[in-house]
Amino acid sequence: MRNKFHLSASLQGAAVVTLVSVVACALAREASATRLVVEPSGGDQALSARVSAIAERIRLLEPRLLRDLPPEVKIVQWRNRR
Amino acid sequence: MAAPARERRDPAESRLRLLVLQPTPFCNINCSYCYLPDRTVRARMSLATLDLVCKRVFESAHLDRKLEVAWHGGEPLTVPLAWYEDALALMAKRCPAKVQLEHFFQTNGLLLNQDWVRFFARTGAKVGLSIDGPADLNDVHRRTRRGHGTLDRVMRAVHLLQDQELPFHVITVLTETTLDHPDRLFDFYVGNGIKEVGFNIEEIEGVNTRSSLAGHGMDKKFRQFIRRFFELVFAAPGQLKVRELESTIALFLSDEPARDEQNLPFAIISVGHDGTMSTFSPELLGVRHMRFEGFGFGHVATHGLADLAHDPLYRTINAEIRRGVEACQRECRYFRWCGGGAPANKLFEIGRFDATETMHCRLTRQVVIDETIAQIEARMSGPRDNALPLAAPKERPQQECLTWSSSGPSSS
Repeated sequence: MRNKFHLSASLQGAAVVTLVSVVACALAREASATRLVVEPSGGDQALSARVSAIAERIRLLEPRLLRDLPPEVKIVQWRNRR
Repeated sequence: MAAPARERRDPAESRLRLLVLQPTPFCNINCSYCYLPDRTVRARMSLATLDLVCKRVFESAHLDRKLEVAWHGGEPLTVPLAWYEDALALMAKRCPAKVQLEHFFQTNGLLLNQDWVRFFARTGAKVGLSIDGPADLNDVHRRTRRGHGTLDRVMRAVHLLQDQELPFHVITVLTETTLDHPDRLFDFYVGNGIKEVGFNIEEIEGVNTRSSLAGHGMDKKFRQFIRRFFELVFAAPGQLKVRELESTIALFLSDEPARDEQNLPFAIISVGHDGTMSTFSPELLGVRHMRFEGFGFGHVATHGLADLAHDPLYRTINAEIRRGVEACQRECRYFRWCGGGAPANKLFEIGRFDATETMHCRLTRQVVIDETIAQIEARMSGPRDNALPLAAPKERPQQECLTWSSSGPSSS
């Protein structure tokens, strides 16, 4: 999965590309470009609805991210694995 | 070696994903939270036993196209490097051509030297170092048998790996001591060039019958730690890869419910230094519990992997684990992203495999899921009065944004 990410030259060697970095940056770009107002969600909303909203937003912003996720992602791994 | 006859396999059964090999139960240090009862025993796996492991694993119908081999002790590096040279060569020779082996060593790093680094580089073996943070956090728990701290020596290992540009990750065990210091821990990793980290917790398991995280108010304190640490990671994207965040986001994006490899029979096979075989949580091998004499379901000299399923102890434990997973599915709103929890934690915290919620699952699943959601929602919604406070920009370097693209580098 790592090789499918591309860093700007200034970041090579310094940064690790992570799902966090891709998601955080995609959301930041979206907020900056659209000044989108999103209804706040909170603890009262069902957990599954909150996760669905997150997944839907990420699918919209980074569709290739989902396509290239390895099948292992649906497995919760033993605590001494990476 | 002639191609062994393949066992017949029910397609609904899980694939073997991880082979955990215990080259020795011995460990050269004495961590306060260690669960292993036999860590002073200097026994070592023989190459003849390893050869039988290869026979049993490589003939199994559970085998997939890729197999991760985790060398996990005891401390694996207390076994001489020459033994691993022979061991990896043997496994490569016995491994079917279509199966990709990937070796992984989880080590305290104290014995790691240039020879080990060259070995890891040559074999492509992955390395995980156990470090609990700065000296006052690490050395209070991770000590030699004479009571000395271990940070100086493990940091030498960090520098050796970095000098050779060999990637590694760090596993940190969170204890009550750590929870007051999320910023210091983050700075420790980033300041020392550590790029990947995973958090374990001080577990109630094996001979470690108490945890500092089990006390009153610890769930809240743990949540505050995770919240702040995740804030720091989100505020500096690309500085640090945190296993818990990565895996949780990936689970959110997956169309299918999560499954936990620890409660799937034969997804993990663990083999002790003496050839005893087990499955489910690797921690079960070599520990004892008042309800069970042990958790070995067979021996490489006498049993194929398929035989383990006929062992009466296996059948009892598997049935109890299945009931526990089904109960989690009925009762827990986190089940879709958890998969039913770790059997070893259920047994050692509650006394039964068919239990549901544990301290381990509250801290490592529920809190992590909640706080991952909260961090992403805070960024989806933009700053607002009731949003999580974001890490102050002037306190932390802001990271250039990354674009995910298959067409070439880009930044924004």
